[in-house]
Amino acid sequence: MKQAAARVYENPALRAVLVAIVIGGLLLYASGYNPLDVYRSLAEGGFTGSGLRNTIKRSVPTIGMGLSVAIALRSGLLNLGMEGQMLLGALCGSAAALAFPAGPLGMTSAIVVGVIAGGAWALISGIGQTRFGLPILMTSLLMNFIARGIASYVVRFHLNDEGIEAVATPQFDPATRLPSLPWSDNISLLDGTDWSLLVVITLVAVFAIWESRSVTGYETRILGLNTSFGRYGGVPVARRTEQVMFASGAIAGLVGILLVLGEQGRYFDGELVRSNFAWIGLMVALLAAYRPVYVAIVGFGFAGLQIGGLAIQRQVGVESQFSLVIQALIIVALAAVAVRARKQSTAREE
Amino acid sequence: MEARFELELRGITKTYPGVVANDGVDLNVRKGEIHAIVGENGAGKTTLMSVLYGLIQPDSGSIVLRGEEVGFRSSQQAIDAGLGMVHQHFKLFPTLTVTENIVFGAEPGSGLTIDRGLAAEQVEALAEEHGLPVDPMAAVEDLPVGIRQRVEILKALYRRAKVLILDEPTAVLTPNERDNLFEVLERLRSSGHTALLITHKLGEVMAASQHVTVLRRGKTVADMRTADTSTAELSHHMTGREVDLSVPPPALTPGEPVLKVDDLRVTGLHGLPAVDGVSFDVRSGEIVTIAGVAGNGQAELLEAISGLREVESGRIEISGDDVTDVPIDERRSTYAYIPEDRRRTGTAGAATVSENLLMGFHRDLSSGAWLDRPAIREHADRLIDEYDIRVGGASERVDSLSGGNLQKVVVGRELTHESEMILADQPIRGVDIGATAFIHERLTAARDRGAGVLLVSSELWEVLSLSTRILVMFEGKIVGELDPSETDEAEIGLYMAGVGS
Repeated sequence: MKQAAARVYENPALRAVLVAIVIGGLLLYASGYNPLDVYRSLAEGGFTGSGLRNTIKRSVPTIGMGLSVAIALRSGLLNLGMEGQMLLGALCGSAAALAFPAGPLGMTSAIVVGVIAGGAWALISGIGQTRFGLPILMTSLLMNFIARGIASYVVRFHLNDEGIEAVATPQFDPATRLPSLPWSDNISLLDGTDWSLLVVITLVAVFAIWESRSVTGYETRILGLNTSFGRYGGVPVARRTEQVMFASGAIAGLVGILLVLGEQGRYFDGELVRSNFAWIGLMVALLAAYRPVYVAIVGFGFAGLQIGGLAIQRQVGVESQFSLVIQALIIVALAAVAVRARKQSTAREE
Repeated sequence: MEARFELELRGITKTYPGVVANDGVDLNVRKGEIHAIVGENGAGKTTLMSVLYGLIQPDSGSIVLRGEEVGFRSSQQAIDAGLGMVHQHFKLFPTLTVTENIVFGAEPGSGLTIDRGLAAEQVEALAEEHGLPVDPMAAVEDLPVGIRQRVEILKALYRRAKVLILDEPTAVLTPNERDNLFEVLERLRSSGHTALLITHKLGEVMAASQHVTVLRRGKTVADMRTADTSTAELSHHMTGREVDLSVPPPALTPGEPVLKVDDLRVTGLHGLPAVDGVSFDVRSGEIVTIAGVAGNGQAELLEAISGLREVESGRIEISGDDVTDVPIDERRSTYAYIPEDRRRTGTAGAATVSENLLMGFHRDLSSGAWLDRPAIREHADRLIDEYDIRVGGASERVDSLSGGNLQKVVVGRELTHESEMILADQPIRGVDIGATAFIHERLTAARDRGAGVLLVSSELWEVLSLSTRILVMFEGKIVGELDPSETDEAEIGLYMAGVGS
């Protein structure tokens, strides 16, 4: 027991979560709530019964966007353009879904186009850095706004379904949309969950195997740890940078198109931005230290936090935003823990 | 009653997970002596000094200053008690003046304003008092390294330090500047100051100190009067065995050039020429040494040859191929390279020992896109064994290794490539005697199998013992070519200071 407690304390991620829970509790207490009640209802709402079912569904974007960010960050690339990449993947994929004949062909081409669109959008930032010395951090971040503008314009003026009030594309043909998981009829937990869950789980596995066993996984990991060492060692830095940026954007694009082909059934303007999935993905990747399996665990946890956040609003009247506060607190605490750890390790340096 | 010792460390113990850095270390320093502390890398010198200076807290043990037990929770407390640290890597603001650097944090004035005139006067008076002439208004970045060190010392004296701790103070100095430093220390000694001199270099211990303490594996193994000992005895205490630093003469007569550099120009910091029209070649079976004080363009030269740095003009040929405009990832397989900075360039600290040993072999130890993990494990274990890298296992983080072992990771990896050409930039910097002998043995072995070695060194004895030919570099130019059998430290020293020709 004592050992387990020590392990929690040693692990920066778990320590950050602990600190966030304590501070969050103090905030709740100061606002006149019983923290234990709120946390219980948060946990029950997110991880039991129908809440758990929703959490599993919500895990698709939180894990997926977490992977998109993680693959770039672990390679030392600060891709903050995952939102725009997701938007354009979803948008271009939607256009393909509408343009191609309904059915498997429409679905496949939508996914392929979505993946390529997301990847290509990210690749622009990659090339900007490798050829023109423009930092990926800045170009990718700013290109989010361009992507939002493009997406809104295209949906409003070229793909708009005049039949409904919202600005959105027409509904996709049911045959083009992602089918439900084959077991979803028998397992109530998976009720309403579609194939995107399986795609994301596969992605976690592929990422994990690629990272630990492939030549390029090794090279990019080294670039992430020390770019100078990688360059000195003969890693083709520019090419790997471009490849990783494409992969990161492609994953974001894939998540985008999976969401509209599945749950949403059409592209609603602004929906993906409002949902904040891209930035939640960033938090997931940070807390998971960019490791794919941890991204899956943390992504699931963050999905549960959000779903549970809705429950506490219903049950104890705490704003659902409280779950966002907890997520942010975790990240701040994590940063504090990381800075402390770095200070200690430099004190040890000769 | 006057305390017997100025400073005593009693039974200092400091453990890190898995490592006992200091294991009951005792140190007794008398007032007014220069006390050398020697030991191999990882012997615990740095940890001990960090404890003394309040940077880290010991697990047990005590510090006694002038008979009174003290415990420093921070370096500020240590400074207040009269300790002063002269760091190996100077902690100065390059763009500020000498005066500003010296008074920083202890400025004379009302608290809100600084009395600059008074500050300059104080600095000048202090410099005069201790015989450390400096221009109080010069910007630090314009000063040579030896003078910058003087500023560091003045900084400590300004804070009324009575005990100076000098961490490897001669690593970056010319022979002349080194002698100068020892004179300064001698003067400080006669005015009642005490100095702790941390070093690897036994010649300096003999030349400058009155007392010497030897650390080995975190323990005090010897504490003697310098007059009663010898370099041989010290080296025996440090390593626990005899070390032979002699090097066999070349087995081959030099053959075809493996490297040709023709009128090479490279731009360095601030757009200034770092390498300024350098031409030479390195033939197979020889070690060509570029001697010089660090910072005269040697690092930039090697970076240009490796492809890390862009060339302004000129031509580089490796094994007969013009590689001047070939990107580094395409030319990397033609040479081995021990870089100057093993932490920043030579390794990735957070990666494992195995991953660091893999760099450059990863495309060979793979089938197609996938790494051959058993072969990688074997490769790592073989190098750890062959190069005697002291580490728990190949999957440990490489930054848990001591400096000497880290260097063995780099040297082992690079020399295992069996390249025709080897670039070695200060391969023994900050490395203990045992590892130095080992690295030299490996470099001469590479020479004798027919590789051409380009060595950059600022250690004159290394230059003289290893070289087939010596080139001296000063301010980006080669100012002399010398035959090691016909020259000596004094002559090379003159060329290094730019006054040989």
